[in-house]
Amino acid sequence: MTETEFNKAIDALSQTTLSPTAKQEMLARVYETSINEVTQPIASAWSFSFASGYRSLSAYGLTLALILISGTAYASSVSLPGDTLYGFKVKVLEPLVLLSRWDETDQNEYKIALLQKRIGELQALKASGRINTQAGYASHVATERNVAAIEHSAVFDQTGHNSRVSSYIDTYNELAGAEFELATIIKTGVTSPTIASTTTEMEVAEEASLASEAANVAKEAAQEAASIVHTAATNMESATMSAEETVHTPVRTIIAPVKADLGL
Amino acid sequence: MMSGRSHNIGRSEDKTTFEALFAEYADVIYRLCLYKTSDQSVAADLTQECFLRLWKAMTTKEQTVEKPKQYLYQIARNLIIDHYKKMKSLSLDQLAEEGFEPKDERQHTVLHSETTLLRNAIEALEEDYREVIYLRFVEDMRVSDIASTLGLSPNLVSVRINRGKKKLQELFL
Repeated sequence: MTETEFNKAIDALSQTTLSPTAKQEMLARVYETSINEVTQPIASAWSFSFASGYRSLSAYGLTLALILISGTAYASSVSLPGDTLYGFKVKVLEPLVLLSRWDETDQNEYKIALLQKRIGELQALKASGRINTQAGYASHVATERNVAAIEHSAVFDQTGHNSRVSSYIDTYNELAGAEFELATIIKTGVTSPTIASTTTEMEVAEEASLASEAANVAKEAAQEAASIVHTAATNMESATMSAEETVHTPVRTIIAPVKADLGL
Repeated sequence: MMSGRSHNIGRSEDKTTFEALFAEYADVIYRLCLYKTSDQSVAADLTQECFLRLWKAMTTKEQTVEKPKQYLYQIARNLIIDHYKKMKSLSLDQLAEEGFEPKDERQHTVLHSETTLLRNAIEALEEDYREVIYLRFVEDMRVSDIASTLGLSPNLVSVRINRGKKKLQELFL
């Protein structure tokens, strides 16, 4: 697809609208549908049917499932790298908690909190003497996933850094050792804010360019005005001299013979 | 069996607000549905369903719609996914894995060739860039509006637009 075709397609779609009639009919159907749904009869609370029995059984089953799941969730929440339920914690529970946070700021804070959690897990492993290759690897994989999520978040300053995240990564790497050290672009500055800062720089440059252009226009206008004033002044001087000549010449014509007569 | 909630239908201030939202966003939602389905009648049906749900939410006492634009957009996306689920009987996992790129292959639908070309171009981009590029180019939304519609930060939207534009340039013939 060429850029021209793309732009043409954009224009075609962006100009597509519903007709006024279609909109009126749509609104009317929305109101009509909502009224019809309200007026449907409500079944008696005393009526029994196989469907309601089945629903009770489903409710019990659901409750049991929830108890089992919550027990598993608790057990996995305290698990450490290398434990059986650790994978469930980092691949299922934590992403679910992340999804439950609608606000992007909350999500970013949670991602950073997960990084802190990974540090805590490593510290706990070391304190209990349970650090080994398997645990180290499990921790590394989980932390790498957390860091990748942070790399894609907008938690960086204009230079692409976040000192809090960087310090956590340093702490993790000290604990993990060379074998499981994390490699991340967070330490060197994330590229995405560079683009944003480039955009800001471009906007600033454009502003400066416009200001410079405006200054040049003003300067040219001032020069033009000065030129006009100078020309006007020159013309006025010439006019004045001519006027003086016009006045003085007849006087000289009169005075010169008089002086001659007087022998002056 | 109805839940027993009472629906407060037709309070004048709700209606005024709702109709203002409808006037502002009906075309936006319609275009989104048309872009995704390439079918005018399906797009109109989905748009109507979208606003029906908004109306129900606004007139239900237990709910408050704080961000109607974001709410509308989210409903529209979900309805489009549901539509394709019905059409192709795909599981949600498959849809999530494949990305939202179903193409309506029914012979009798009204396909706008330009819409299809456009969709192919935009959906050649990474998933993160598609929506922001769509809203930026088709709806000509500002970064702040896109951010509030999608529930993202303006900074992230700005970044994705720039990256998406660069990628589009690379894809153009």
